[in-house]
Amino acid sequence: MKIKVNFLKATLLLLLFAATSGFALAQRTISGLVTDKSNGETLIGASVIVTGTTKGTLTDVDGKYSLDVPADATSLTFSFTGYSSLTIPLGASNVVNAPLEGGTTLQTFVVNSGYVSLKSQEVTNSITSVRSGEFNKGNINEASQLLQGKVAGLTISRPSGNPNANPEIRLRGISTISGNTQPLVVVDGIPGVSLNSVDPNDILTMDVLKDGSAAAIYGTQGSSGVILITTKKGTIGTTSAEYNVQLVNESIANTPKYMDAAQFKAANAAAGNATADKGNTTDWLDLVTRTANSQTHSLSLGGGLSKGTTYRASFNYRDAQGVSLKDGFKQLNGRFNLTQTALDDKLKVTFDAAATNRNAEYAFDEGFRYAVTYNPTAPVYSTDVAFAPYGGYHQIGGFDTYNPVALVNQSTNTGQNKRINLNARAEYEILSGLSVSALYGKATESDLNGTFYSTKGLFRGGAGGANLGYASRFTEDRVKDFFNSLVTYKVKVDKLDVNVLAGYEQQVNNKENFRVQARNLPSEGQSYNSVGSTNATTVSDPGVRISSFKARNQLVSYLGRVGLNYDDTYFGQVSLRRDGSSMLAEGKKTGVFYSVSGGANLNKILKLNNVDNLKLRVGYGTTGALPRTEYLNQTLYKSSIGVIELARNPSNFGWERKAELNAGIDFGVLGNRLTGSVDYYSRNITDMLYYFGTIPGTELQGADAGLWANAGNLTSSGIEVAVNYNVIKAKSNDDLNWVTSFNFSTLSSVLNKLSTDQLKIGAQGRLEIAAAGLPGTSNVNYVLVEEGKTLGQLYGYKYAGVDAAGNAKIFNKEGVAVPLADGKSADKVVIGNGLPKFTFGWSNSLRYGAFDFNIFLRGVLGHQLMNEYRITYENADKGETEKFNRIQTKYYDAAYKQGPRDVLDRFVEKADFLRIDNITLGYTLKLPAAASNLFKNARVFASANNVATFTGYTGVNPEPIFVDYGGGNNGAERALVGDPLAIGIDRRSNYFTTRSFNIGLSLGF
Amino acid sequence: MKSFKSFGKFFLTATVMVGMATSCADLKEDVYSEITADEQARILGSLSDTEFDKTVLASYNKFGGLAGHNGLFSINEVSTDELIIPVRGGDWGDGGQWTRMHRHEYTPTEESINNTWSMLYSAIATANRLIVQLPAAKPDKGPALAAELRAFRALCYFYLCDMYGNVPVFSKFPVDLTEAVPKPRAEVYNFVEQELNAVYGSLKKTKTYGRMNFYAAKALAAKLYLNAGVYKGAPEWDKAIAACDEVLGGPYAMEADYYSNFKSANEGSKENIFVLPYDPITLTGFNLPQMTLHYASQATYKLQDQPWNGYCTTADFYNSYDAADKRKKNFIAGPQFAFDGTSVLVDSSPDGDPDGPNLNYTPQLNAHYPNCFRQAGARVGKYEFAIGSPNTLANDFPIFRLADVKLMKAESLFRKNAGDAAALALVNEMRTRANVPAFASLTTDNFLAELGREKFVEAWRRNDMIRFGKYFTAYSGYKTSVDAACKGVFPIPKGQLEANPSLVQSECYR
Repeated sequence: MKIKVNFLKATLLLLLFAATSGFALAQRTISGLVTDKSNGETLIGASVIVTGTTKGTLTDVDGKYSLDVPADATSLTFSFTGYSSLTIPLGASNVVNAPLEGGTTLQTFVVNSGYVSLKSQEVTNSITSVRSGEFNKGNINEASQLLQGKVAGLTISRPSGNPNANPEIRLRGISTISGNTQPLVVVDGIPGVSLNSVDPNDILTMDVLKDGSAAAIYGTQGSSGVILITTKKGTIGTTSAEYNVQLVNESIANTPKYMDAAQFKAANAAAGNATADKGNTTDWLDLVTRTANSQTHSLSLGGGLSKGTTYRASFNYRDAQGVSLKDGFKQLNGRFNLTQTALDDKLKVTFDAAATNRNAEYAFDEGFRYAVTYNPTAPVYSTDVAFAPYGGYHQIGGFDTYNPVALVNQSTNTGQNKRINLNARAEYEILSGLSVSALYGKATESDLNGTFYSTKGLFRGGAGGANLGYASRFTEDRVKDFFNSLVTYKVKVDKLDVNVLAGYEQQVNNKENFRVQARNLPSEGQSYNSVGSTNATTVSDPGVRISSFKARNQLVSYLGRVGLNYDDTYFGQVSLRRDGSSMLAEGKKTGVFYSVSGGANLNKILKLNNVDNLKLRVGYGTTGALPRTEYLNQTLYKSSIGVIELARNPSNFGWERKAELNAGIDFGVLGNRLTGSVDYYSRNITDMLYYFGTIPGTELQGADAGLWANAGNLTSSGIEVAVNYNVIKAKSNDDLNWVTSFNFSTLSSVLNKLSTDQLKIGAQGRLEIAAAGLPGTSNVNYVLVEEGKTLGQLYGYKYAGVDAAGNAKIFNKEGVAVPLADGKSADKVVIGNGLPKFTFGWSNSLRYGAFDFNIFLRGVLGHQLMNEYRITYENADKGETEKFNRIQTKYYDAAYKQGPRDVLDRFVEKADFLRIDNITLGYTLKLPAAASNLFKNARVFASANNVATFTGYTGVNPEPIFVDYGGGNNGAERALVGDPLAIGIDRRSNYFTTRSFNIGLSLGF
Repeated sequence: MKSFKSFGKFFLTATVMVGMATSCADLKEDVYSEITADEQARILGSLSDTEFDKTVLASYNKFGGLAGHNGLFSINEVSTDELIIPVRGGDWGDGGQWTRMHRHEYTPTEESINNTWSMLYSAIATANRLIVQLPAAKPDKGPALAAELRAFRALCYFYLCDMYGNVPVFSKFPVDLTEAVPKPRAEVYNFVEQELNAVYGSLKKTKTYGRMNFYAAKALAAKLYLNAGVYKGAPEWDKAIAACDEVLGGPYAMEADYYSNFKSANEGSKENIFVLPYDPITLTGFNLPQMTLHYASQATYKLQDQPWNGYCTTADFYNSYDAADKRKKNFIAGPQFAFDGTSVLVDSSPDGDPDGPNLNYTPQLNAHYPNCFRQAGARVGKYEFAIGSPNTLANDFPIFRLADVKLMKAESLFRKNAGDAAALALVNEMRTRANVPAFASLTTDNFLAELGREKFVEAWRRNDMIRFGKYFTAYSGYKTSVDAACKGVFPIPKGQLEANPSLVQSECYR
């Protein structure tokens, strides 16, 4: 919902109407809805006047109006600042809807601040609202993609073209290590809902609560920020149906720079490797990838009946292909909303139901990796009897080498995901201004996964050995029960509007899963649909595993908020939330979070000339974060193969807390053609949860069972600027209109502490993490975590060239070049930083007649990436050159023949980039009269995503990498939960980036 | 519309009631899939005798990593003349860990040294817990198991004393952090001796499998006394001899075939006294084929996982065996074939190896670092690699073996009197079984060499070489420096120093 109003004018008009209305005689009542024609959003405070008179009214918060008009009235005139006014003749109908054109200068709109909606001018926190008209366009399969680059301070990293991959979302950098690093997603009031459960086509607005004072009302769930999603609803007095179709053609945009067969042969000839050339020319990447074709269909029907019933139903179908063979998903999503008001609009009941059914087949990212590194002269198949165990696929053998075609064809990983969200909400206005509401929601997520590796597969199938093949089934149900009850009271005392909210909320999360897996399959294994076909005769046979697990947690909360608005000049908010979680230690289960914020309309106070809007905001708020898993504060035992073992050392931790100060200015000049905001924030995260794996005298060590403690202190600060300028303002619909929007953000984070009195990350407060991993780099780490320093430090030796034999030299701590073999840990230094310093987005929207054109550019500056492809495959070592195809970037140096690999600064590259993220050209068809009976509107568009990237980075994608999932070397599985402290590592097993071209059609009925 | 009005009232009432009812919802954390501390106490008391007897395995099983890669085995073998892990081009650089290990340049950051420390203290902490919990749960059966665990804990502290010197002695449950302060090496020695003395009377005098009995405790005591000179500066040869004699009076006997002790199904060995009863299900971690074999050798043994081509012996050590020595099968050398015995294995990346692409393990190493040929070095063949093995073997790994006890007795006698005839006879018993000529006399050199040949890859080499002083010499072509005596212990791992500020880094590594 969007309201656009010039408040001063509106107030005057309102007074005028109030003064004159007493004299008017009502002949009949006309009602309707005023909307923005371009996107259908409702306009709040638009004026509706009986043409030629002073009689009129303003639209309400839902964009609706109702006006008694004299019998002789012939037409109504609708107007709204920034829009062309519209006069509509009155006919027999008592319903007149007015879609206004030309809206560009946004002044006031409704902001969802969580639990309550505010007029934008009442906002005293840092909240960015993005409305459907401003969403990213093109090849979009997941809701967060709509926002990428649109919100200063919100970084959405989608490191690949994998349609099944979820992006990493960071709001103002990292705010917790052990809790949820991604913002809380609230869909129509239900917190913690999976982004995948909402189809992008059903989203009306997304409001991002960025600072602590805004997120404090979400307490312990709010530390990483909050994204509020409001889905589209039907509106009274309209009936609309919409059909959208989009076709996508997608191909690989970028690959590592590796040698082709001819270059590989030349490199091996130079190295004296006579047997490297296997006599073929094979383009492995071409064989395991494709040009992907995807399609999206969405059909929606919405409207309002008389007697206060509105509804909207939608049906979305997505058939998404990935560029990796077999990769993709088919998803059907349905959503239904019904709202009924009754008792003179005092009672409002809402039902929402959404269901998603997704059948996915997951890519093996390793297919990309081995397509790069596998010998490009090797054949795909061989009739040699030696390769019979591999099903005729040629396998070179050796550590970490797999025929990529065999890997893709002989491995299967699928998932069926079902998401069902059911909500019911009722709100009753007991007295004028006093309402109570209750919301109950149940969100169910069910996954059923199947994994199969052929008995003839070298990759995880064991071919060539024994105990062949692998099949597994895994199913998990996650159910959230959510209830809240709110009381709101609104009162106006003189010029002071007071808005009070109090509420109770609880949620219970249940997780239950079951897994069965087996090896030793019959030679023609029957996939994961028949795990029982295994030749294993007992469950204790190696490779046979059965496990099940259940966990439950509860969060119980009380919350309150007071909002003040004095004469639309001074604004204030106070919020308080008390959360209790079952996941914390006894005696530490409850925490109180609060915020105080205020704003002043300086324009109104100072009566500035030539300034349309100038508002100052200051807010301070606290939020918390919960651990990711239950039971960390308990002593737990388990029984394993007949032996009772300790399974967990009990921790004893309480809330992790974040306090944040935010100060901002909103401005508008040139008749609000130039608007914008500037925000500064400073965060202090204390009692940050961290895990310590080494505890003296305890029986459990390492990743499974160390102690968690409130150990950390992280401070961060940054500036966020957003500017919107109507460069060329259209005088009429046929003129050129050009709006440009630019936003940028800066970020710096310092880890002050990561230890307690008893638990230290290191005697010097230093900890090396992110193992480089095999081959040849075990016992080597990429990242240095250091108290008092910024996050994201990449760590290693400084390269000092090579000696005559081609062995690498490094600079030791005295600055003397010594052989790499003599390197000591004291010689290692910080050689880069993975955290970006500066992130920006730049959008341009042009409209000319029936054409609309949008170009969106995005960039990130100041970060580096550890290019693992180069570390592993760049050197010209004789044996390595034969075993693995070489990475040949501008840094390739044939003289650099060192055998052992290590982490050197030469492999850390600046990854600044500017990307043309999207170009869209649309054309709104002028419908002939005959067709207009059938269609209300029709628009066709063509767009391209990831059009071009300008960067000096030689890896696949210069996008910052916020989480590390480990190497996944030699067929090992990568970690399911990434390490958020290991920032900036560009591993090898990553899906490549893609470029897509899309065409689409929207029809309104 | 009346119904709507009453609905409104109902709704308001219901909301308030639900709010009140749930506001006192307790935030207790229910456990479904694991056992809480209270439950565990109850369960321990209700177990059958057989199940109760197995509870001690929670401590023993912590030793799974002992004979695998990157732990106790690795640091006690690669730091000696028995094994070396050369850097083979891009493989096994591993930050220089293994090069440093062989050259005795190990640092406090080596993973393997930390893994060993963690493994031992983890086993100790579990023993500490069970020593308290088991007698409380079953006053009839618990005390005997507690005594056994004290003997096993003594073994852990023996290892710590041997490898790290001054270490903390945690002995209580719950953990008492006043025990985090390290004790001098001689006091750790005393602790081991006192603990063993306290439990001999409670230990079984019958054969046990993978469990500490009276004889295993005596064998441990023999090890302790044999090294007393190293640990506390005063030898205890007589105590060592007495302890060995106690073992020799036990139910163990020499196997006629040396390899009976190391084959895949070696659980019937009459010679092995205390073993790690490795098994692909109940005790995993013995991944020797992975550690030593070339990638292509997977086909020879139909291994489930591809090997890593790391550990091999030095040419000098290989050549220290006579051609006729039956124990020369401790090594895998020469051309390699697939399981059928005839198909030639091909090294896909011979990296200029003069032997060409056909896999041929040559005892000679062309280099330690950085570009050792991938086929270079004779591999470890002492433990049978069962066909179709997963990456963890089923062979039991001997910690104490009768032959070693005999050699300990021989050494003690020899130290007291270099011409001792009984000592010579005991050493020659090994040589005769191996089909090599008996020694005419014993010298420190031929004694240590014989220990190497007999006990190759049994994780005692570092201990033996230190006692003979050779550890500190330039004993191989790749270990060319002479060490300070303080290199006789490994550094205290960096992570442990950081976690326990009471620890003090050993002299060589400060």
